[in-house]
Amino acid sequence: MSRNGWFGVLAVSVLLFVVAGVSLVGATGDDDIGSLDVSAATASVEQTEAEPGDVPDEGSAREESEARAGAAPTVPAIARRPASLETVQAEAAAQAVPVGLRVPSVDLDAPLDQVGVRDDGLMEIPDDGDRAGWYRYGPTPGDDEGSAVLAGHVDTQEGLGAMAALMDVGMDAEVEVEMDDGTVHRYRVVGRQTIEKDELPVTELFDRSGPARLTLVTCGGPWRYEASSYRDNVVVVAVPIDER
Amino acid sequence: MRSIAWGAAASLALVATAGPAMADDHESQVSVLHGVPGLTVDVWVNGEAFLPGFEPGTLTDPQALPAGSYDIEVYEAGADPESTDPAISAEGLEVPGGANLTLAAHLDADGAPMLSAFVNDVSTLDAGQTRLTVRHAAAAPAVDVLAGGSPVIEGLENPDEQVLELDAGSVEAAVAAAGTTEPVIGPATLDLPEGTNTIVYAWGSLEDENLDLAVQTIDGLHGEPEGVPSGEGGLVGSGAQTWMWILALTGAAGAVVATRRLSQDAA
Repeated sequence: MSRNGWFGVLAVSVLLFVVAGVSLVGATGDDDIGSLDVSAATASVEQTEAEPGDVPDEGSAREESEARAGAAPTVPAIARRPASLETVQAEAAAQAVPVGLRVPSVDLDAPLDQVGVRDDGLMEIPDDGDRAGWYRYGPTPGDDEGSAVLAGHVDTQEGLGAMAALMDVGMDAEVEVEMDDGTVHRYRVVGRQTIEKDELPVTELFDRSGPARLTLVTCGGPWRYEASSYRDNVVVVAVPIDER
Repeated sequence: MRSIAWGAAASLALVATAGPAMADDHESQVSVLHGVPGLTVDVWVNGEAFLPGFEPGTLTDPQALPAGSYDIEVYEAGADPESTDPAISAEGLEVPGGANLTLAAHLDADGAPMLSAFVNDVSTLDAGQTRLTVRHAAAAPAVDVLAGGSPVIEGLENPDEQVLELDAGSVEAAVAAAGTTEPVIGPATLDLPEGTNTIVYAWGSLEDENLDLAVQTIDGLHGEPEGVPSGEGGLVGSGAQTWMWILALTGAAGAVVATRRLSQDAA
């Protein structure tokens, strides 16, 4: 085997480019706006698609290797790191979390909770219809890739929820997500769709890779008394507004 | 120089089975962990320098290795392979295709260096779940793993592992001799991120009082929620129930409200 043979297999991994947003499958809304294949969004953020994590630290590791005088300089360096608990877990540095969602054009202003998954496998939603929830296991608003998901009740026993305003959101509406460090991430709506819950493309909706986008979800469509549930989800997809 | 008699060939335990989730059957992802205290080594694979100056307590990033048979030789760092016998030589390590492995140099229960090839579970988790893998790679008798003071793994022996799936979060973990609760390692806070296999190795030597934890994480194993139940009132629906709400809100149908409340948790 050649000296470099070990790394010939480190071939460039082909990124399965998952198109952002939700597919059109199952769309039911007559008043949907935009196209949620978000191809425009894909194009605009494609440059963020490089996955530096695929070849982590190769450069720095190589420098490190070459710095060790005489230590087989032609050997491609394999990145290595201390495996102590402190080192490994320190990498999970505290990241800012979203605390507020605003869509000024429809007077939507909802504080955000960090939410996870219910016992039945569905996304957890804040009980308070005035609030919305950020799916804390997925991407964070402001991340370079993936779909950050914010969802809230369209209504509760107490009345309409803040997210009911999503029904009226128009194309290009500006969306602001405020973080707990005061940062505000701005997005632009590229589509709104009503999708039957049975058809909700959760893989795309909760996708942690692909172009950066913000996905806002609430309920809609006919109320189904027998299930005490709406038939549909209303999904709004927004893409980052370049702040540079 | 510390004299070590690596009994590698004899104790090399590879029980790899190809993971069904892996797309490529022709290669495996292989990480290497150095869990033998006190000796920096050069690792050679199939006659090629592979890991020069590999220090105890360090872990490599995963490398894609073609399926096949591998000869592994480990020398004290800087030794000349032409004139030195390897401290360890494991011949014919069979790497399968489509697996995720960690090759660990560590001490056996009696303190002799050995190699183990562990198969890492990279199957997809349910949304919100995390995986904790605990491997006994230390010169120590059987241990229990305690979480919040209570045993969650009992009687784990070198070089075995146990795998748990839990709600993502943090646990206060400690390692104690089997059947006891007095920690020999920890307690320490273990962050167990969602969608991640956190692999914890107990390594070092009880007798030499250098027991420690090494941690490897494999992320990207997450599932997604099955849906978004984001309405519970029926207020905005276009169905037949909307009129009931209008009645209810005007006080004319209190009974309807009561009915609705009984069923509200299903949304």
